[in-house]
Formats: sequence, C-alpha cells, structure tokens
Amino acid sequence: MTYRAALVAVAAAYAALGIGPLLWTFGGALWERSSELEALALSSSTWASFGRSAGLGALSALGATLLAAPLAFFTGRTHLRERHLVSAAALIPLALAPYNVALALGPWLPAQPLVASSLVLSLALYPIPFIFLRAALSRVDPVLEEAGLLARGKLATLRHITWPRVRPWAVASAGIVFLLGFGEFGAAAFLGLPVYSWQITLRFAATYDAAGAAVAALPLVGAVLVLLVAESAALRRADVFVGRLRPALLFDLGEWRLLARGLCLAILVLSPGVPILLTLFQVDERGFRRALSMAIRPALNGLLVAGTGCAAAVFVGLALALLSRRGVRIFRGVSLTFFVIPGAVLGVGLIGFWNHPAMPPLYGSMSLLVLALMLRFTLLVERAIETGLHEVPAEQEHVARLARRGEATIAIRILCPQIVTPIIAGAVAFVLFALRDLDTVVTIYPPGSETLAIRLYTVLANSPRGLQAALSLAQMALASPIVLLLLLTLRRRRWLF
Amino acid sequence: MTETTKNRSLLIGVATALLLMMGCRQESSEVVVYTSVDQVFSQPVLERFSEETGIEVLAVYDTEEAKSTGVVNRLIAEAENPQADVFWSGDVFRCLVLKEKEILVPHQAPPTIPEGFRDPEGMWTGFSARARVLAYDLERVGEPLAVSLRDFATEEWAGELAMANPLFGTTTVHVAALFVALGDEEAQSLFDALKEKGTRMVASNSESLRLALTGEVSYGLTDTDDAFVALENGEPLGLRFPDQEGAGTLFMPNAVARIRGGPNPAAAQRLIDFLLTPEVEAMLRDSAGQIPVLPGNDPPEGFGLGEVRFMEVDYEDVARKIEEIQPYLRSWAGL
Repeated sequence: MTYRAALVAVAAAYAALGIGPLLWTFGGALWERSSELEALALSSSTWASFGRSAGLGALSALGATLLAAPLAFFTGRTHLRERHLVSAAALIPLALAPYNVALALGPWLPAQPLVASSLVLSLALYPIPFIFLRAALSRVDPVLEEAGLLARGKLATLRHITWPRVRPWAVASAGIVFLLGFGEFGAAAFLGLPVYSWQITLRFAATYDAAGAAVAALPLVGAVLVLLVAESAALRRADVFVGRLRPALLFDLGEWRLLARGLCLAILVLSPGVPILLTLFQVDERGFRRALSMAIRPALNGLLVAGTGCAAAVFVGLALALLSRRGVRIFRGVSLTFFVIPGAVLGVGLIGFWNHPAMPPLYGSMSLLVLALMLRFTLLVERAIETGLHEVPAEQEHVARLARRGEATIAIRILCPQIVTPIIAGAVAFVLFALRDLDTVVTIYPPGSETLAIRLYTVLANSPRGLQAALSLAQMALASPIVLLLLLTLRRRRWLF
Repeated sequence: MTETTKNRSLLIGVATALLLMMGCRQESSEVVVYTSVDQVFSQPVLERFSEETGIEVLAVYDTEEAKSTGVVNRLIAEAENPQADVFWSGDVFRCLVLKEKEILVPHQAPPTIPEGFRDPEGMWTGFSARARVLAYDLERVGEPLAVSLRDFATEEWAGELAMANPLFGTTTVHVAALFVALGDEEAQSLFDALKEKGTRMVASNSESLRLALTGEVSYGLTDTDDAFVALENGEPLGLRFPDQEGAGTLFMPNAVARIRGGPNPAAAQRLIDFLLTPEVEAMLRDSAGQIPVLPGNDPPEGFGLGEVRFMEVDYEDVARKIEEIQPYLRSWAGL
C-alpha cells in the first residue's frame, strides 16, 4: 500500500465510523419524518433555541476575547515584570469545565440565564483566545512596528500595523469560542438556558425520538458548511509565518504599569481564582469523604477512555493533517461535522448502529465511549498538527524528494520531529475536552462505567452542596496535571512565555 | 528495535486496550440496574446490597432533567439487545410502559406487598412511595394558602407557580393522572390556563423548589423527597398536599421490574428481593422521606400524612394516558 493510500484508508475509516451512525440517524429521520422538516424550520421554538445558542456563542466569544486581549497584550508586548507568571496563570482555566464554573458561581450569577451562561463560558474559555492572540502578537514583524513608531506613534502603530496582522487570529479564536458556546450543554442546562443542543437532547430523552432529534439537528449541517467556508477564507488571509521568530517589539508601559498589573490581576482573580476558591469554600468534610469514594472509579474510567481516545485521535489527526498538506481537504469537513453535531445526536446514532446482537460487542463497553470521543474531538488534534505543519518549510520536503526519499520517510523523518509540540498540544486539548464531555457520553455510557463528568451530573439531584462541590473539585484536580503538562510543553515557546 | 517494530507494538497495544475494554464483564457476580431514583438515595441502597451479597452492582442513573424518561427510553432502545437486568423506577407508570412494550418478565415478590402495589401478572412491584406537594417559603408566603393547581390558573395566583418540565419524571405522571381524573377537556383547559397565567416551567422538581425558596415564585410543585431534603437542610418550608377537596393528592410508589433477556437473571431476582424489604424502605424513608408501604415501618415525620386524602388512580389508565398526551405535553413544553 502506498503512503498516500494508507493515509486515505485511515481517514476513510475514521469518516465511516462516524458517518455510518449519522446516516443511520439522519437517513432514518429523512425517510420517516421529511414532512417535519418544514414544520421544524418554521417552528418558533426551534428558531428561539437556535437564537439562544447563537447568542450564547456570540456573547461568550466577545467576553472571552475581551478578557484575553489585555492579558495577551500585556504579557506579550510589554515589559511587565510578571508576564511569565501571568501567562502561566492564564492557562489554568483550561482545567475548569464551564459547568464547574457554573456550579461554583451558581448563587452569585445574574438571574438572566443567557447573561449568566455567557459570563460562565467567557470565564472558562478565555485561555483559547489568549493563546491565539499571544501567538499572533509574536508574529508581527517588529521592523514594521518600529517604522510605524518612528512615523506615527504608538496608537497609530497598534491600529494600522499590529491589529491587521492580529485580526485573523482573533477572529479564528473567537470562532472557536463561538462554536463551543453554540454547542454548550452542561453549563447551559445547569443554568436553565434552553439552548439548541439541550433541546435536541430533550427531544431524544423525552420520547426517544431519534428521528426527531436528528431532524432538529439538520440545520447544524448547514452551519458546518458556513464554518468551513469561513475557516478556509480566514486561513487564506492569515500570515503564514515560516522560520525563526524575531524578538517582538515591547511597548513601554510607563505610568500605566500599575493599571496593567491591576487589570491582569483582576482578570486572573475572576478566573481561575474565584471559581476555584468558591468551590473549595463549599466543600465540607462529609462531602469530601463521600466524594473520595464516589470519584475514584469514574476518574479512572475517564482517564482510560480519554487516554485511549487520545492515542487513536493522534493517529487519525496526523493522517488527516498530512493528507491536508497534500491537498486532500475533504476530510477536514468530516472532523468539523463531528465536532459541531450535538453529542446527543452522535450518541443516538452510535446506539442505533451498534446495539444489535449481530454487531461486535462494542455496545455496552467502554470502547463505545472511546469511539464517540475520538470521533468528536479528533478535530482538536488535527488542527493543532495542521498549524504546526504550516510552519515547516516546504523546501525541506522538496530537497528530500530530490534525494529520492519516499513520502513515508519524509513524513516520519522530517515532518513529525518538527511537530512534536503541536501534537502534544492537540493531545492535551483532546484529553481536556474528553474528560469534561457530557452530552456525548451521558447518552451511551455503559453501566458502571461512568466518567467523573457523568457522576457529577447524575448526582446533582438532591445531593448536598458539599458533595457537589467536592466532585467538582475532583474534576478540576483531574484536569490539572493535563494543564501542567501543557505548560511544561510550551514553557520554552517564546510566543507564549 | 526498529521504528517499524515500535510502530507495530504501539498499534498492538492500542488494539489490545480496546479489545480489553470490549464486553469485558463477568456474569453472575454482577447485576445491572437502571434507576430513575435520585442517585444520592439509590446508590447507598445498591451499595448495601453489594456488601451483603458480594454481587457487584453496575448502575445507570438518570439525570435530573431527563428524570425517569431517559433510562426508560434507553431500555426501549436496547430491547433487542438488553444490557440491564433490573429497572428500579421512581414510579409505577414507566414500568407499565415497559410492560406494554413486552420488555419485562415476571419476578417473584414477597406476599407482604399490599394488593394495590403489585402487578397481577407479576411484572412490577411497588414499594416506598412519594406524594406530590406544593412547597412554599413559610417566612414569605402568608394566608390564604393555595390549595389546588386550579388556584394558579386565576389572576390572583398568576405566575406564582413553578413546575418541572411535564415531559419528564413525576410531573408527567401528575399531569397524566389529572387528565384521567378530570377528563381530557377539563385537564387540557387547566394546563392551558396555567401556561397562559405564567406558570414557570423549570428543569426539575428541585429547581421549582429552589425558586419557591428564593421568592421568585410563591409555590413550587415538587415531590415529598425533594421537600424532605430541603427540610433536613433547615429551609423554612411549608407544604400543601394539593387538591384535597378535589381529586386528591397523587401518591406514587417506587416500582421494580425485571428486564426480559437481561444478562444476570439470578442476580436480578436477588436484587429485587432485597429492594422489597422493610429495611430498604426504612433507608429510603430516613434519607429521602419516602413513605413505606410495607408493614412494619412508620411514615416519615413532619408531613402530617395521617390526614391526607390520596388520589384514587388506576395505574394502567394513567400509563396509557402518559403515552396519549405526549404530543400535547411536547407542545406545552415548547418542543
């Protein structure tokens, strides 16, 4: 088998494993309930929940970017003495799932569910635009900025030179936060916001109306297409930087230094400070002891499932990214579709597809969780590797081909060693998302094999606040070493620290 | 070791891990139970069973928002390839839905179970019950107190009631029971009026109780176990058993059933035998304020159950009605 055929085989297998169940669900839905499509499209409740999800996505993207932007600027482009510490602290919220933040802040959040949910998501997700903006700021050519400073001064330089180069990255990161906010399930359900993904899950849970849930999810397919087009356009316009970065131009804060410090401190206190402290404050001794016994097995389940899924996702993500570098981009849409589709729809499809005596004994085992998470979050690994591959000069491959080296050798000996950091970053992102996932796994988890996220969610009814807080803390603790691994992996990266 | 060998070893390792996770369950030393009873109440009972018998319990719990319905529908979906042995439901009616779909098989039940709490064909057995209540904040809500759901369909009480999504849990049962008791037309008129007068629909019974305690509404429609937990936490809660002058208050026993084709039938019967004992009822009374139906246990304190008039219901009629009114409930819930 040739190198390219092997990559296509891996990608095709990945696509088939997900598309099969989705076709089962959507195909059945369209066959049985095509007449409902029009009613669904015209239903006011559909548009209302769609609008709420879009509103949540937009507000979260705005809020997260507003929190991240000053942190990124002060740590990346000023002489702030504490910038390395602030950079590290700004990544800690990655250990907090949005529903952890919602549980911690619960009684103190605004009464309006959309505002409360947006605030929670902004506090939990701002590390994403922070990372993007730091990377973008480090890539602006300092020579251009120096010329701008000589000619027009600081504000004009930032406005006309720095910002146009940072804008595509800001838009891309806001797009990711929008997607995450749009598909949010746990925090929105906890705060009583009837969002689109929750409506789909309810439709399924209320009547096991798999076809109805699939019909309700069809508009998201359109959303995926829009996102693909927007993503391609953004990538075309973004600066693709190849080679060694020059030291970024640092702006002198002068008398604004104290204000900058205060703003950074305030943001970090808001998150991760307040959610972690409030959670600790709400834990009591009884809840802590009970949580210890309740949390160990689910935590191990989650790590096993996330770890195995991560290994599979790295394998598949690498294949997809290498194919993309070769110009085969069709599978990018597949991974994006699996990421955008609500977990409940994917879960329903997997149940319908695999729950037959004739099928291999995947259903009812943790392998189904691995499969589901691998399908959903391979995008994170794939896009991280693609970003890394963008920075590998194509000339290196050309030289190797001239020396008659095969494609597989080029991939293994030239490309892969240069993308170890993006692979690790993507793997870390996968594990973090897999550990906190709710809407996918809650539909399909086998008896006795719940993850810590599910354990926390099923225990919410009538359980003491201390126990809820203790389980939430356990989940944060579970994610913390993963975030620490990310920090250690990236600690030498000048664009971040 | 060459790179090819390393890659092969890694692939074999991942494949082995996957295979080990597939269908890796031992039979006979475990029992699989799906339950819609709150995990905080049901898990200690299941753990006690494991300690006493040595049989490991693998449980699927429902979530607060999809209460009862989530696991029921999973059982329906798995009917051709069942994973569960036992269904422990928070009400009888979901068992009747499963019975109608031929997902249950008979089990043995102790003769001490009162006649009205067992299926004539042995498909389900009731125990340990709850009742529907209107909960209010004693420090905030004064006389006159609401006595019926009809009160909230009037201008005086408009917008003062919170109730859980009628598509799930005991709220579905309550609505269906009222449809049976009042007739379709009258009941639909009542619920249309409740919606028009601003009754708040929330995610769960405990959420409706919370809104009543925070003053966002005057009354939360909930169950006695949710109210019991709030009282145990020292909340200033008052309770009204609704419709004492009308149809009566709905009384809902838990129910247990065995799943057809479940992988561990012997262990399933042992779990059912364990659940249908006064000891388990005492555990549920003490932890959740549930009302024992077996002889030998006192009712929970503080509810004044002695004077309460309960609704006379035919479980089969209510179960049928639950299915019939689904389209109406979906429309009422905005789905």
